[in-house]
This record gives sequence, C-alpha cells and structure tokens, in this order.
Amino acid sequence: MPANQERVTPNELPVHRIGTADFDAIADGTGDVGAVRLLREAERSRRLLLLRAITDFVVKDPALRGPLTHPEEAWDLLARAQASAPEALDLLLGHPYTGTWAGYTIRLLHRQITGVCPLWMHLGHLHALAAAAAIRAGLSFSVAIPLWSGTASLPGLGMARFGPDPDRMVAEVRRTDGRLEVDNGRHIIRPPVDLATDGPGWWAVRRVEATSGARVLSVHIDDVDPYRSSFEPVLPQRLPVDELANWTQLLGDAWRLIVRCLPDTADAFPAGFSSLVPRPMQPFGTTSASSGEAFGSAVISRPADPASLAAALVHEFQHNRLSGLLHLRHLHGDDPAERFYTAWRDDPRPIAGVFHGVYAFYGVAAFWRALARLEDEPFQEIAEFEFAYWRQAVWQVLGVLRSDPGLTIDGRRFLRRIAERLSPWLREPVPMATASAASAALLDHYAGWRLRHLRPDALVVRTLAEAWSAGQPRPALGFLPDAEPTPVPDGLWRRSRLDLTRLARGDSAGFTRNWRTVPEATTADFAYVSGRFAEAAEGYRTELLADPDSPAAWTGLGLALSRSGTGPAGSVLLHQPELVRAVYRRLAADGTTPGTPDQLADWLGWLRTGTPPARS
Amino acid sequence: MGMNTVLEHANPDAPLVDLSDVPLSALRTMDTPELQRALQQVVEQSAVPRLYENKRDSSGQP
Repeated sequence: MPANQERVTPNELPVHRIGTADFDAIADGTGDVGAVRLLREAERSRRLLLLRAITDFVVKDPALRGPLTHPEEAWDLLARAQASAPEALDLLLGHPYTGTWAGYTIRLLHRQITGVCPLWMHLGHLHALAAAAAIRAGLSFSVAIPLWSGTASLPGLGMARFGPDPDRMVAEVRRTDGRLEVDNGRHIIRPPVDLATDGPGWWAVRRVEATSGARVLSVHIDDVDPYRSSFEPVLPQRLPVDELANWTQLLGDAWRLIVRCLPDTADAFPAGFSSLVPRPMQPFGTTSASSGEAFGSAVISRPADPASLAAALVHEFQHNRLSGLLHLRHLHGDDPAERFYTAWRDDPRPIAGVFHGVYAFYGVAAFWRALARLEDEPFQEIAEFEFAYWRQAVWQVLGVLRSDPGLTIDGRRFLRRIAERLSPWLREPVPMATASAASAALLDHYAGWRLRHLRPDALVVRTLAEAWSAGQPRPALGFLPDAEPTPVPDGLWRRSRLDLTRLARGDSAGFTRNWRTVPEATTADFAYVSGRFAEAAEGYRTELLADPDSPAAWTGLGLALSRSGTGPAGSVLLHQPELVRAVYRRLAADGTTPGTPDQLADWLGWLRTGTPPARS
Repeated sequence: MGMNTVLEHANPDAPLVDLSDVPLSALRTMDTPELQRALQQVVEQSAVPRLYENKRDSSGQP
C-alpha cells in the first residue's frame, strides 16, 4: 500500500492522506514532485466519484438522457477501455476539463437548470468521454455523443466539426478495424490516423513541448474542449497558426525562465500542469484564471513577454496546488464574508479567496525575486519592481490573515511556513527608487480601495461639514474605527498609474513616447510617474473639478501632495480618503464647496482611524 | 525532505476515499456507506463552488 494511503478497517476503502513533509513542501512552494503526484491521485479519485454520481443521476431519471443511449453503456465502454489500456482511462481522468465538466454538470443537476445548452448534452458528455477513452485504448466500438452547435468534442483528442444543423443533435462515433468515423447522419468526418494533426472537419488538441536542459514541459494548447473555461462551457475558439507559433515561442522562453529561476518548482510542474487555454492579448496586463475543478490547467491571455507568462504559469500552478490540497485538508473555515483588503483585487475578499491569493502571489514574488538576480536576462529592472511590489503586497495581507480566527491549525501552519520564507525577503536590497515606486503603487491601490469600499460614519461626516462651514477648527474625533467594507464599489477603478509605473520600469527609453498608449492615463498620471509632483497635483485638482467623485483623482492628489506638500493633506488623502471625499460631497451639496480639495484635507489634518494593512 | 509522517487527520468532515485500486466495473456497483458518504460529499462540494476557485485579477498582473 502506498505511504499516503491508510486503511481505516480491513473492509473499508482507503482514504487519501497527506503527510507532514508533503504538506510542508506544498506550503513552502518548493514543488516536491511527490506531493504534486499525491494531489493528482486524489483528484483522480474525486473525478471518479463525480462520474459515478452523474451516472447515478441519469440512471434514476431516464428523461435526462435525451436522445442518447443508457449511461450504463457509456460506463461499460469506459470500463472496457480501462480493462484494455488502463492508461487510457487515467489520461481521461487527468484531463483537467473532465473535472470542470463534472462540477458544472453536478451544479446543473443540483439546481435543476439547463445551462448553456440542453441538460442532456452536458450529461451526454459522459458518452464523449467514453468514446475518447475507447479511442485511446484502441477498441472497436460505436457510441452516440452530443453535438453542440455542430461540434462533437472528443475530450483531450480534438473536435469533429459539422457546422450548425438544428436537426442534428447527436453524432455516432465508431471505430472499426482501426478506422475512426464521426457520423451525424448527414456527413461523415474521418479524422486523420494521427489524431494530433488537423484534417478535414477535424481540429486536433495541439501539444506544445518546451525544453530547457533536461527538463521538458509538455502542454496541450486546448482551444476546443467545451469545458475548458473556468466558468461556463464555451464553443471552440481556434487559435490561428501564427498565434500558436507565438505561444510556442513564449512557452519555450517562459519555461526556460522558470527552470532558471525556480528549479524546484520546475521539477514538479510537469506533474501538475498539462493544459493551457489561450486567450487573446490584452493591453498592459496578463489576465489568467484557474479553477479548483480543473487541476492541471490555466486560462491565460497572451502576454507581451516570456517573463509575464512565466509569472502567470507559476501563479496558476500555485492555485492548482492549493486547490488540490484543499480537497484533502481544511485550512480555513467557510466564512463567505467579503471583509479582507488585498492588493491584487479591487474588491473585498472572503477568507478563502485571500488564502489562495497569498499563496499564488507568494509564488509570483519568488519568481520575480530570482529573475531580478539574473543580470544576463533583459527583465532585471521590471523584475526588481515586481519583486518589491509582491513581497510587500503578500506580507501586508499575510499579517492580517495569520491572526484571523477563521484559520484551522493546518491553515496556521501553512501560512507560518510562507511567512518564514517571505520575511527575510523583505530585507533584501532593491534599488531605492524601485522600492519607493512599489510602495507608492501599493498605497495608491489601498487608498483607492478605501474610497470605493469603506463608508465613513454619517454622523462624523455631518459634524465635520458643519464645523468647516462654520469656520471652526476641526473637532476632536478620537479614534475612528473603520466600518466593515462593503462589496458595492463607490466609483470606477482606474489603474493607469500602475500601468504607467510598469511601463516606466520595463521600457524607460520609450516611456515618454508611449505613455499615451496606456488606457485611461491622464496628463496628471504621466506627470506623477515622471516625478513632477506639483504639476501632477494641479492636474488632479483639475480632474476633481470635472468629476468630484473620481477615486483615481482623489488618490492621485494624495500621492502627489505626499511627495510635494508639507502639510497633512497628502497623508489624510491616502489613509482616510473616503472621509475627505464624503465631507467634500456634503459641503458641495450644501453649496459650501472648499476652494480646493486639499484645503479641506489640510483642515482635517492628522487622523487616527481604522486598521490599515500591516506595513513591511 | 524529512520523514513523511501523517501529522494530523485528513479532512475531518469526510476524508476523500482512494479509488486507485477500484476498477470501474466494481465502482459502478459498489454500494457501501462510506462510498455513499463520499459521493454526497463531492456532490455537495461541487454544487456550491467556492469563490476562490475562480480568479479574476484586476491588478494588471497575474
């Protein structure tokens, strides 16, 4: 019996367990390959349970089958495939979107809703899974599978495309004498003998292999599986050949960086990451997502450079690892209250989301830290900024999270190990200007978050407005506790200053020429990032005249004044901006608008409020 | 790497049963109380997906 199994009693099933060393290796993020394999084996059991649960649902209610045959036939075909070639079933169970499909379908059944296409199509995906396993096992068989908008998915292999035909809802997949056919009753598609290549009516799931020294990362670029999205099923979005070439190049370079920067993680990576869902490039930022149901996969928009892709891959690998661990251990309670500030999200987060974010960005910080030391790579300046930014961002949240009563003993142990590794990084040297830019960017975000999600006490606001209007000194207020954050934002977000800061760090030569390409960037933002703080302050005053509610202008004014002013205005605008804006709004409504916003901020002076995130 | 001992219990609510050695033909007809508990557990977990499981960053970086 493997070391990670324990038989409870002689007649009971063993259960998946994770030992201390593996648990700690995952927490450390050092990437022990054995621990990742253990998580993958647990996911296999979990997906088998979901397969059985879905089959049970359909067996009990024949109306759920739609035009397809009895689910027992699909199950029997899966069992035949396993008996003939066990690895065929293992590949299918390891396919990330088998998990996504199962979770989505269970939700439909639980809520008795249909989803993006008829419920029987989702349930009938079981038949498509069986067909895919049987093909891999080399069996002769015949089975009907659903057609969604004229496409027949064979998970992990590819997709037969007939084109939309409302009269054709199923296709027969048959394999006889080694010849595969997909037949919708009107047309027959015969995929190539090598299913990894495209053919008439056939889109293969393409594979990209990245090699760095002895380390190989083999990844499916899956743009066809209907359950590849983190949220809802989606139709195929075929990546053009030139875009595939771009991804291949980027993946190769990113893999080389991961191997150089995080060799331990690179050891574990191939065991826990097998599929990438490509999304189009987005200006000034890589977006990525993953699902705990799709262990081994990530959705990533095409980054501009391999360092950004490497960071995204490390980030999503961290999510995958933690999602797998959470299927074996409770690390925190289920409190859904959105009460935490984090630097990586604009909205307040629940404990589960914060926990995930801490782990994912801890990995990201580790990657940038290592990359910043590689003088022969062209990313040193941006890597120094990202390292300074993420080590501080994670440390801030870690300090709050570690004292939260919602953690389990395991959760505290997990976070303690992260803190022990992260803490020394805070003292590692980063160029002064870079560290300062990172701190300012974090303060910018925190102030913007307060403006949007904290609501000041109405009585305090009224008292202050009345005192200002009467020409009195600001009343003594004592300590002002923060209210619980609300998830409803008060104002739009604008992240142009952060984008500009990154542009300046990554392309200092082209910054002046290219800053206008940054979405929503204003001349005040450009002045601020260029270090012309008085000019920036004047620009933000002008923005506030046009839009007195603008969170970006309030925090921009605070940032500029904190660098150029001598009074308390800059500080109060960054640490209690929601109070300044609320009083300003009240005065404006009463017809006694201050001459400038910073006059009011100066009058408010130094305040004692709330619990800001811990500072490094 | 230190000794890989089991420090604590697994997920105390419902440990995840290990089906590594259970062939599909047997799994289809298996009907033990612990399997029923395990099925109920995964169905309940999937029915209410946890927020952290899908991520939408807004920081402009991964």
